Parts: sequence; C-alpha cells; structure tokens
Amino acid sequence: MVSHKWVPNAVVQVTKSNFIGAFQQLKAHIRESDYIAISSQKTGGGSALWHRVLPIDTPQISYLKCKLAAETYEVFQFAVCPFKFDGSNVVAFPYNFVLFPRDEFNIGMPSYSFSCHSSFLTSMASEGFDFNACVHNGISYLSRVQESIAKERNSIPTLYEKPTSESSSLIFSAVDKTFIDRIKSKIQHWKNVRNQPTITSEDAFLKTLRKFIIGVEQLHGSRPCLNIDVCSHRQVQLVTTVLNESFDDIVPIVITSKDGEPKVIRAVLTSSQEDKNLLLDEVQREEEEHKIKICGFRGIIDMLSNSGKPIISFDCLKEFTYIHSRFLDQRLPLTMDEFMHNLKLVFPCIFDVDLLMKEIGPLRNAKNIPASANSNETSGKNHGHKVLSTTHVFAKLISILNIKPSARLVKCGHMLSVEEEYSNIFIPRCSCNDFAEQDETDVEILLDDARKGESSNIVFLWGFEEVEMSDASAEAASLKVVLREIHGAFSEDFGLNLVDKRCGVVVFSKPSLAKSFMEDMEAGNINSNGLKAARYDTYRRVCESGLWHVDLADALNKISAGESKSNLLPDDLDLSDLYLEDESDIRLNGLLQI
Amino acid sequence: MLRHRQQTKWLLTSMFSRILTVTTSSLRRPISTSVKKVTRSNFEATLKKLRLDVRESDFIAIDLEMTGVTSAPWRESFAFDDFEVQYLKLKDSAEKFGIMQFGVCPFRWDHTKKFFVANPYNFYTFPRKELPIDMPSCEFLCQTSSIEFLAKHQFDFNAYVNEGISYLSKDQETEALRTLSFTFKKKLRVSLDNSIVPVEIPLSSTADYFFTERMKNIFAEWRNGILKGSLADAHTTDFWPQFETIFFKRRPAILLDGFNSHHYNLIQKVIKMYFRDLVYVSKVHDDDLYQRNLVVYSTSDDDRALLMKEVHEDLCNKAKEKIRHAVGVRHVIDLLASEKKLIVGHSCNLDLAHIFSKFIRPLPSTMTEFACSLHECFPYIIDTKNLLKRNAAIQSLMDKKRKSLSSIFSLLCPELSSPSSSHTSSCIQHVKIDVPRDVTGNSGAKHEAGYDAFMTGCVFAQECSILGIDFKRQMGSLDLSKNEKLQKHINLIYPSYRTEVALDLKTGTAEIPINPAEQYNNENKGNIIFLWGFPSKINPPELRECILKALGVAESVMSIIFIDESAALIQFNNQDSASKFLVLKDSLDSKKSVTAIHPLSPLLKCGNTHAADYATYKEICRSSASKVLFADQAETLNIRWTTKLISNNPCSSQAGQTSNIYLKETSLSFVEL
Repeated sequence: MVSHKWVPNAVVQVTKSNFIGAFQQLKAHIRESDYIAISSQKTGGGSALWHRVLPIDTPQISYLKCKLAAETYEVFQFAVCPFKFDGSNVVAFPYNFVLFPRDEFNIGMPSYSFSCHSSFLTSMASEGFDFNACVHNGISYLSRVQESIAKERNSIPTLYEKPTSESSSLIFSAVDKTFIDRIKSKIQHWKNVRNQPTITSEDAFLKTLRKFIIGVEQLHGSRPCLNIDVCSHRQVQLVTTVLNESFDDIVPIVITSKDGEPKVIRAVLTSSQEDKNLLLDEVQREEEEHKIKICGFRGIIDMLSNSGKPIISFDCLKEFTYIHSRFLDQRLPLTMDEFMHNLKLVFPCIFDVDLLMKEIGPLRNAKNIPASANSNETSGKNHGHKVLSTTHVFAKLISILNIKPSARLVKCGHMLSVEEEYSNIFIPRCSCNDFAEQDETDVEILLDDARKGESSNIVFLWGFEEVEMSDASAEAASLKVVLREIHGAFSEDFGLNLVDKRCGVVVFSKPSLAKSFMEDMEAGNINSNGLKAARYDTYRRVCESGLWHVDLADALNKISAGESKSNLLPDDLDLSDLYLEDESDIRLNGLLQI
Repeated sequence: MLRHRQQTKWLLTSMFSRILTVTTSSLRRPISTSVKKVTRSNFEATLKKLRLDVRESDFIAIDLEMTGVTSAPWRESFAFDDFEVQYLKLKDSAEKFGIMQFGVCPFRWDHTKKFFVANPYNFYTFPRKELPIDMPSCEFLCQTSSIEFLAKHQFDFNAYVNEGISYLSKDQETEALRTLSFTFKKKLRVSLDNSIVPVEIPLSSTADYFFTERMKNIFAEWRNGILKGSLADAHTTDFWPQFETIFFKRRPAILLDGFNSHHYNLIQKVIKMYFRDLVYVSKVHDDDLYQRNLVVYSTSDDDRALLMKEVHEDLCNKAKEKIRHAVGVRHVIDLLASEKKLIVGHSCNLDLAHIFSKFIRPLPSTMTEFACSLHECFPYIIDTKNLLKRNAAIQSLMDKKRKSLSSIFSLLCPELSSPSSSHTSSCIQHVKIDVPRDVTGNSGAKHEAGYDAFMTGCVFAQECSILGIDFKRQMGSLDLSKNEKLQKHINLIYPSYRTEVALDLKTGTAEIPINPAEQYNNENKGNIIFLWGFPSKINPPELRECILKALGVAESVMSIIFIDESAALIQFNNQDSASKFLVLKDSLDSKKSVTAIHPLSPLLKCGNTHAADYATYKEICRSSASKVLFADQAETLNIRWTTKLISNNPCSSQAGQTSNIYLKETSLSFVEL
C-alpha cells in the first residue's frame, strides 16, 4: 500500500468573466491528468421525503427518483478537479464553475424554470455563496440537444460565416462578371490609394468624393480593412472568390447579422504572408471562443468526455442524471439500463467512490475516510472544496484497493482488470439520511437481524391516522403496538419505518408473513379501521407512472384503487414484470445500517 | 376622435381647476423616495412602527415581487381562457412560485398640511425552515426570465436568501401549535411517570463507580444542609467549583457546570434513583432558556409535580414564542386584515392569490370559493388597473402602448417620478404626496416591491382626484372604503390581464360584463378543440390548410392559435365542424396507417397527435405537473386515447351521425383521387 502525498492547489473560481481563460487552462490540466473528479451543487434534492432515494428502492426506482430531481432542480456550482499521480505526490487542480441558466440568446433555453429548496439555498448561503454574482455572472450553457435545436432554428448568432468551398464550380453570368469587376477595381483602387504618399494638401471635397466611391477605410483589430456590403449568399461567394483569387494579401471575413444572413464582407489587408497566417489564426481563435461562449459550460463537459480520462465522483447516479439532463439531453431515458448505456458512450470510464468505499466497507471504517480527508481541507469561502475531498478520498482508496494509477492503459481502451471491475457501476446513494433537518425518528428502521433482501417481504401501510388513538403524528413505536393487535403476521419481529407522516414501510422477516397479511387485508378479514396496505409492486408502479404526489399515501391510494388502471394507465403495459431482475439488489444492508 | 380627446382634456382641466387649486410649488423639492428595507434583523422593530402607520392610514398600497409568473409558456393567459381556466392558471402560479419581496405602503392624509404622507416598507421574504416540522412551502419554482429581469433591476438576491423573513400560513401555525402542545403534554407525562420507576445505573468502569458515589454524597450533603434550614450550611459545596447554589423558581438549586455529557447522564440517574425530593432539570438545546443543567430541591411530591409543570410551561412558552417568530411576514398580513383598511394594488390578481396561498391557506379549487374567502379577510380591495380601465377621463390620458405601472406613475405623478425636472405645464394638478425621510431607508427603484407599492398608492391618489374625490374638503376620516365614488370599483379584480370581465369578490362571480360579446366568449367553447403532439415543423397556415382540406368546407376554421410549439387551439365556426373533425381524426387513428395523400397525413404522421375538447384542456391546466411543453404536460395525465370525441353533449349523437355520412363522402373522394 503506497501512501501518496496530498498536494492540492487553490480552487480556481470561474464565472462568465474569466471563463474563456479558465477553459484553456483546464484543457491543459486535463491533458496531463490521470483522473478527473467532479462534484456539483444543486438547488434542491426532492420536495417530499419519499422522493429521495430510500434504502428499500431498487436501482431502477432510485434512477427514477434521480431523474425526477435532475429534471426539477438546477445546478449552481460545478467543480472539476483533474489530478495526477506525480511520483509519490497527488497533484490536484480544482476549478469551481458558477452556473446560471441564463437565456443568453433569447430562445427560451437552457431552462424555462427550475425549482429551489430553501434549505439548499440557505446552506449555500452559509458557505458564503454569492447569489448576486451567480445570477449576474454565472456561466450559462446549452445542452447538446438544445444546441442542435437552436442551430436548426437559426437562433444562435454566428460570428463569421465560413465561405463555401465550392468557389471553383462557380459559373459566372454576365451580371456576376460586372459585379466582380466592380469589386476588384474598388479593392485595387483602395490599395493604390493606400500605397500613394498622402497628399496633405488634397482638397477636402476630393477626399469626401473618394470616401464616397471607395468607402471608408476601417480597422479590423490593428489591420486596415474595407467593408463590402452584400445582400445574398451568391454575392458572398462571388466576393470571397474574387478576393482570394486576385489578391494575395487580402483576407475576406464574412460578418453575419443577427438572423444569420450575411451582412457585410470585410476585406482585411495584411502586410505579408506571415501576417496573413497570423490573421487567419486569429480569426480561427475568435471563432473557437465564440463557440465556447455559445455552448457555455457544456464545453467543459464535452472536454471531459473527449479526454477519455476516468471520471471520479461520489453519488454518481445523482451526478450523472444531472449531467445527462442539463448538458446532454433534457429527456432522460425511462430505464436505468438505457441511461447507463447512453452514458457509457459519452463517459466510458466512471468510478463511483461510493462503490469503492463499499469494497473496503466492512473491514475498515469507511465513513471516516471522507471525514479524515475533509479535516485536511481549508474550509470557509473556498467553494468547490468538496471536489477536493472527493479527490483525496479517491487517492486514499486507490492505494488501499491497490489500483495502479495508469491512465495510459485507459487511454488505449484496455482498462486494467481492477479498474474494469469498478468502472461504470453506480451505487444509488440513499439520500434520506444526509438530509440535515430530517427528524431522526422518521427514518429509523428497526431491523435487528439480517433479513433476506426481497421485496416480497415489504408492505406499505397508510391510513393509520384513524387507527391512532389521539394524534396524527404517529411514531413508529406506537404504531407497532397497534399493528400487533391487528394481525397475527405482526406477532413475529418486523421492521417499521415511516416514509413520511402518513405512510410507513413494514419489513417482515418472512415473505409468507407479508403474503398472509396482504391476503387477509385484501379479503377484508381485518378490521383495519381505515388502515390500508399495498405490496411493493404498487410502490413500483407509483414510481413508474410518475405519480409524484407530496404524500406517498395519496399516490399509493391512486394506484391501488385501480382508478388509474381503468381509464388512465395503458392496460397493455404491465409494469409489474419489467424489472423483476433487479429485485435481489434491494439494499437491505442499507436498511440495517441506518 | 381627436376632437373627442381634446374635449375630455378640456373637461378634465376644468374639473381639476375646480377641485385642486393649491399648487405644490411651496413644497416642491427634490425627493428621492426612501423605502424602508426590512429584513430579519430589523423585522420586530419595524413591525411596531408599521402597526402605528397602518392604524393611522387611510389606505394601504401593496405589491409583491415573485420568483416567477408562469410555470410554462402554455400557462400564459390567452384570450380564449374562460373564468375557470384563468383561475387555474392563477392558482398554478401562486402555488408554484415564491414571494421574494412584499411591499407595503400606508398612505395617511394630513388634514392640516393637505397632503398624503406615504411610508413605504419593503419586506424581503424567504421561506426559511424555522421550526423542526415539515413545511412543504420550502420548495418553490423560479422562472429563469423573471430572475434575470429582477437582476437587471438590481435585486439583491443575497439579502433575499440570507436576510429574508420567513412566514407561516394560518393553517401551518395552527398545525405547529397543535404538534407542540401534543409533544409537551407527552413529555410532561413521561417526566412525571419516570419519577416513580427506579432506574439502574450502568457502571462501565471503576471511575464511573467512584463518580456516582461522590455525587451521591455531595447531593446528600447539600440536601441535608437545606433540610437543616440554613442555606449557609448548604454552601458547604463551595469548595466544589463545579457547583453553585442558586434559586430556581423560588427553590434552592445547584447549578452544574463543567461536566461532560456522560457525567451529566450519570448525575441524572443518581438523582432519579436516590433522591425523591431532588429534580434534575436539563438544559434545552440551542435555547437560552436554561443555560445550564440544574438540580432543584422540591419539598414534596406535589411540589415536585408543580416544579415540573412550571418547567414545562417555560419550555412551552418558549416554543410558542418560536412559532410566533416563525409566523414572520404573516404578522403584516394579519395586521392588514385586522385593521380592515382599503387595500390598493395594481393588477393585483396574482398578488392576492399569492397572499392567500402563502399566508392564509391553500388555494381552494374554485374561483368563487377563493373570492369569498379572500373577501372575508380583506373586505375592501381596489385595483388601480380597474380604475384606469373604466374611467374614460383617465383612459383618454393614457398612452395606449405604455401601460406599465411606472409609465402610469410618471404620467399621473410627474413631480414624484422625476423630481429633478422642472414641473411641466401639465393640465393635471396633483394631489400632493410626501414621503418622510428616513436615514435608514434605501432610495427606491422600480420593480422593488416597496417602491412599486408606493407608486401604486400615488397612482391611486391621483385617480381618486380624477374621479372627483376632493381630499381637501374631507373633514375627519377620509373613509375611502365607503366613498360612493369608489363603490363601483371596489372589490372588482381581473383574474387575468387579458380579460375584460372582472371578478366580484363579494359574490365570487363574474360581474355583469359591459360588453355582451365577452359573455359569449366565456360560455361557448364547444367549437374549440385542442391539438397537440403534431410534428413541430407545421406552422399555423399549414395546419389550417390541412384541416380545411380534410373537412372539405371552406371557412369552417375561424382561428388557429399556437399555445406553444407543441400544441394549437383550433376554433371552428360551429360545434358541428369541431365534432366532425374529431370523428374524422378518430377514424384515422383507428386505421393505424394513414395514406400519405390524405390531407391530414402531415399532421398525423408521427402517430402521437392528440385532439380533445375544451374540457380536456381544463383538465390539463388543473394538473399540478409543471412541464414546459403542453404535449409533455398532457402526457403526465397518462392519456391513452389520441382523440376525445365530444360525447357529453346531448346533441353530439346527432353530430356524430352527420359526420359519419360526411365521412363516407370524403373517403369516396379519396378513392377518386
């Protein structure tokens, strides 16, 4: 086990004003890096408690919940940290980008509206986040799909139009010839005048006349130029052709108007071939910068994707559903399999730090690693420090798990077997317990011995407001007592957890108990006094059909009442047998940890 | 037309010269209106001052700044929206978006100086979680364009998040108090019960054993000292720096200090086990109520119960105080409601809906219910927009294009809007308005709720004088809410800016429209159908062409409005044409494949084109989902059909028959093709 020395650099804070510079700098850092860690800060994490990923959720349900959050909330900060193993050092270059979905081109994109949860905003505020700077100076973006839509509609302004290369195939008509000759003589005349020594005593009238005929000489940067008005693409072609063919020292630049139509051709005079090349480079750079400005922060995501470097993050399912919905395509696929497939095309190698932590989990006290890494960081107004801790944790894990940092192999497409073993496997992180203001008793699942992780053990209960004797704020313990009296299945030990105020989850020790309870419940053999119950399958259907009511009880009611079955939900789509295979993955060990 | 306007102007001029004779030259000086910025830090103090201002005021202008207005482009108001849809859109907006600023500006008429005194306040509001209970209001939507708009007008988002005052609605407060009283009752019960049950002290180490023994001795000694009747003896513990004898609720007590939590735990157990007459009172987390842990002496079991009760009452009061604090900005609403003064807003439909949903209770499902409940809280509401719309004299002054509050303000109150410029020789002579200068106030700017409220109030005052209300002749209270000249404008609000029909808050129904054509528009929706999910490249003329060709009747389509890029409204000239179209589309849907030569094929080719009647549109508006595209919103309703025929109408069967016959004809004609 090699221990690396931790060498983090200061976090570079990036807003609109220093974006272009940071873009180039980050590009260079990424080129040299072994891995890239990412982390983002969102404006919310689920409006109702049950919208967050619960320990009882299958990966597919977890995905659906992350999808909902990704579609609802916005990202205000996105930190990127390329790092490399330099001898015995881990050298990290963290960048923190401040984002705001500003509609830069007045096209209703990237997002019409987004949700905020006040507790997320206040926690950002407590870290000294500047919301004014975010709104005024945050970097905007367009997702890949949005950019192509915008291009299709011609709603993005272009800086220069690329002259079409078909100039050789042009067939000149007589009118064209006259036009070309006129342009040619105009430019020639302009050049001649420039070469003549200036006659100071020239008549003012003559000067004006010349200006009127030739046009007013202007400057493109430091170079003199002459503007030629054009009114069609045909004319653009003609002018650029004649300029390229007849004048070696003149570079035509096509300026377009807001609606994408060519407006003017700028004939820029260069002093030498060298100068000409310089100008061409300059134009190309300007165009690149313009492109960076248009896709905004999306450019960074493209950069990460193109680099092919392994991406490191905590809570990958959440991070990448965000990345998919904000920067690739707003419409997330319906299934997790499809999502993972799409993602793999863009990011071939992603490491979920949660997965790596789980690997070493039972042996070492995994929870202490982020804590120990955090303690090294300088907190305070230094945003984006979370990405540094991710990096640090990963560097520690990598030495514990003995993964050799070898980006070279990854680049060739042959990942080391160890790396292959861990890449692109996400562990949906249960986020209900990291929500600070959550009442502890709510999610307390009382499971004292290990049980088989099968959804057939699980039953959802609601409608116990009437069952409870005095108050609606039923606690799990008192509800348990009531349940024991209701049915024999509860006489054996069972786990009970309140998902929200009005709905609870029961985990039986044997599927047969759940079955007998549900059968009696459905047959009406139980004097339930308003108490209602549903199988895990009903819960799955709630999530699949997107019934994201505030109270889970309402959604369960709707599905189990069969109301949606009869007239709204398609009959032919049987949701129950879609995701049978991932049942075994329900993380009951997650239940036990809480 | 021009002559008519000149006439009105002349009329106005004469009217004003009659009413207001004193110009304001003596009082004229450059005014920069100072608006009091109210945040968490100065809220309590400001509330006191506001109370006085409101009590003395003659009317109160209000304004809100929200995080957004429409949750999707198709939720904007359209001319074809009926009352119910208008309300559904209003409701959706008020439920989803948050309030960022609440502007309140009481106006008081100064009888001696003959001018209005305005005191604008600008409350920053942020839905903070102040209590440890779940509040769904903590989540809100932001419309990107609204946020950008506010940013352009120098809105301070940091003050909003960091300093914004939170609030609880009346319902939430009731719920919080209920939960609180329950928890405390239970806690009290538990603490009294436990006194009888003997507890075991888990001794994990010898150190713990020695500690508990030592504590037992110290407390026994201290108690014996008290029992002997001399407190001087009780001071034997003086040599223990961690103990200090004090009085707690008229009883001798020891203040515990400097132990760790494990030790406190052990002390608590020792007390419970060995001393019936001593009570351990633990400190309350993050509260300044009892700063440290205490052991209190009680003379008897009764006294002990009394002590526990007192302690719990303390805690309960403290919690109540917290809830009172959490009520926050709603105190201002309560104040406005209790004083029953005239409330003035400028196109305040959305403001009122927000106030209702945030501070009173969730918005009811119907507009009538909303209007009546609102009327109960605020019996006198007036909308300045209403006065502008209905008064010909004011209408004639208005520039048709510039209808924003600030342009109306600069039209009606030129000296206030641009104090530096010399008073132009306007034909209107103004009611004088004065703003007391406050050093702590910020200079107001438009689109800041406090300043907007101030502008609204100023506009209202000028409107009143145009209506012929002579403030200067009023003796005693102005009592504007009873003023007969305002009666026909009071409690009428427009549910959307598009509509010409106002809602009467007293009755909860639409007022009788001035223009009968409007009524027609509101009732007959049978000829309207909605179409969505068609290929996005189709434009309105193409759509019209498709439908006309398919129906084979020229002029059958009156208008086509795209409500967003994914959906269109088609208004047919009669209900028959509408149902004909639906039947035709339904028959094509069932065929699964549509021949390319069919006129509707460009519309249906992607196979996901839906058509439905106005009732379905309402249903989609009612759905709480917030999808940007109408087609996506419709999808959340899990609509399985692609065409919904108009069936609930009694005459529909007839219409269906005729369309069947008609269908045969069209299919024949296709064969011929």
